[in-house]
Amino acid sequence: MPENKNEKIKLSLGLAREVTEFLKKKKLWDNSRAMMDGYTKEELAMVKSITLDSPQTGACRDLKFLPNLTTLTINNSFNHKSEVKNLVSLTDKDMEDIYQCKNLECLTIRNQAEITEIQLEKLPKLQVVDICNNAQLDSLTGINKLPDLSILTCYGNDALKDIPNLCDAIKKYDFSDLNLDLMLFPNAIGYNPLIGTHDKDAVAKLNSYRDDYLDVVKWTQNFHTIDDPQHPWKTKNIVINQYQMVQLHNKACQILDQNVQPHAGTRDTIIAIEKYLADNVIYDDDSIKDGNEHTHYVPFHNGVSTINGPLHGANGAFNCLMFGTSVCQGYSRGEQYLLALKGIQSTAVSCVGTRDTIGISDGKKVWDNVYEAAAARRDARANHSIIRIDDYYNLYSDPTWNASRAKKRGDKSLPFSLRTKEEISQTHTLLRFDRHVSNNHLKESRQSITDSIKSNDLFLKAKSAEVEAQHKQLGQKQAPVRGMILTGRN
Amino acid sequence: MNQSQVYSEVYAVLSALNNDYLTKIPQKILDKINNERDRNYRFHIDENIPLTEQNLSPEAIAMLAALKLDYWCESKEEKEELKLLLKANDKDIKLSSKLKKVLFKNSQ
Repeated sequence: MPENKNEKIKLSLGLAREVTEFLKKKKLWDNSRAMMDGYTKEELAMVKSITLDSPQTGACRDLKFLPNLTTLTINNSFNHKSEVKNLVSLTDKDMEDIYQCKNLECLTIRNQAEITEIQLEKLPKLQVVDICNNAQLDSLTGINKLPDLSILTCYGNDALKDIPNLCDAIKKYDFSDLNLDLMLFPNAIGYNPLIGTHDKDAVAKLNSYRDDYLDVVKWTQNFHTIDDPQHPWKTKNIVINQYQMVQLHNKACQILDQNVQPHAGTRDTIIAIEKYLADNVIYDDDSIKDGNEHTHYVPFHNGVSTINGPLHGANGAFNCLMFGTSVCQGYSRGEQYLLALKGIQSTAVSCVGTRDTIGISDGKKVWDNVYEAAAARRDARANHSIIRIDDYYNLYSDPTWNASRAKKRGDKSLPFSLRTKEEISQTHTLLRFDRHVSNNHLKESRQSITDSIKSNDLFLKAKSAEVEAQHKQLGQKQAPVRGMILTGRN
Repeated sequence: MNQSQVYSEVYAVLSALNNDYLTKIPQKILDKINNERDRNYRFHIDENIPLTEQNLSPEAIAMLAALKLDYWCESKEEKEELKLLLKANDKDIKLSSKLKKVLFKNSQ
């Protein structure tokens, strides 16, 4: 920091532009000045709000020269989940610069794909926190150390599976607005997947907001759509209120109770859930016809239809589980919610519903393929969503295609369940966020077990009597023996 | 080896199989195996080694044979081959090389 009062402080380009705009609005800027000449300490002390759109890494380095900054907004006009191009993003190192702004009261960080961790405890004066669509953010700490927190918005951070102490924060603070990702609901109510219990006080607190005229509590899932050619990667939000969220949660618990054995292992749980979806959810073709915007409609009277569920809901878990209708992303998210209640982490994965011919998810391929994938996706209009089971070897399942096979061909073998990356790539093109996944070795391993069953050498010493005895144990019907007189009891 | 341990071994094998094998077994049977297995008896399956080398109990092998007969054989011939092998085992008949060729053709 310069000692001389009149000495000017030079700022990085992005920040200088914002400070200049701020001074212009206050009519304190002389157009004859050049941005890069710098600013006086007094000028910088006046700046209270900064918005950085699509900042490069290092853009926050000079925030420390703004001692009275209370509002910081970091955004990127494009959604980082898209594959349009390698968009710029702040990194974890830039977050260290932001932590120096100790007077921050409002912090917005959206669409920053390279940020993996945010430590809110380092900004204790925060009142408004907005953290959305940061594709690789997997850690958000200190939510319970912000005594003045009143507005919290946090959704679309696909890698963020839980927020530590979220349940405590919900019980402790009075929110004027709380908009969380639907997948954070179990976390918010302190749900214990092992014993199926939740924190009753947290639920009561969330329900208490329901009396207000406006929905203070909202649960959101968002998706990007290729419907608008001018803005192919624009996102839309599916928002449900607290009452609907409780309905959804209860329905999910009921589905699990009726379809998954209490002590089933991970694999059995996944298969049982995918079986349920294949049998009970139908593809919502109507929702993606012209003008319907992924919204579920039901016929009412004289050709008039009414909206059922949330706007754009065909892409969400709510429609999938409550109405049994959805498009591909709804299937993935419905499954994701059911798995989460069983303590199995998963991720809804964007992909192209055609065989992978360009290897976009192959870590060895060149980055330019991102453009090809985007083009393939637009041209084929085969934007698709499947699920990756993070807690089960990162294997992939496509619940939509499983359901389609079951309904159209009567094939209930779940052919698109628990596939390795190589196996799923025979029919799907994964995108760049799956570059880190490496599970192809499982295909060979499983093959050796399968071969042992297929060949008879496993049974080289098995005797008929032992097999019969085990038949009986399983409660199977006895195989008819030649010459035996069949009765109704056989 | 008690019966619940047999279920545990079979459960471990089923967990390591491709799910097209699993989905061929009726849910009722899967539930029975899951419900009646001994949760304190851990049988580890190494997915990189053939099942023949994993010390499965004779009872578990017999149950897998029963499952194969009922649900996994893809043709009548495959079923007959397995039945023939079991009969040969009953009588401790040493298999001729010709018969071996017939019985193990799927593994070759």
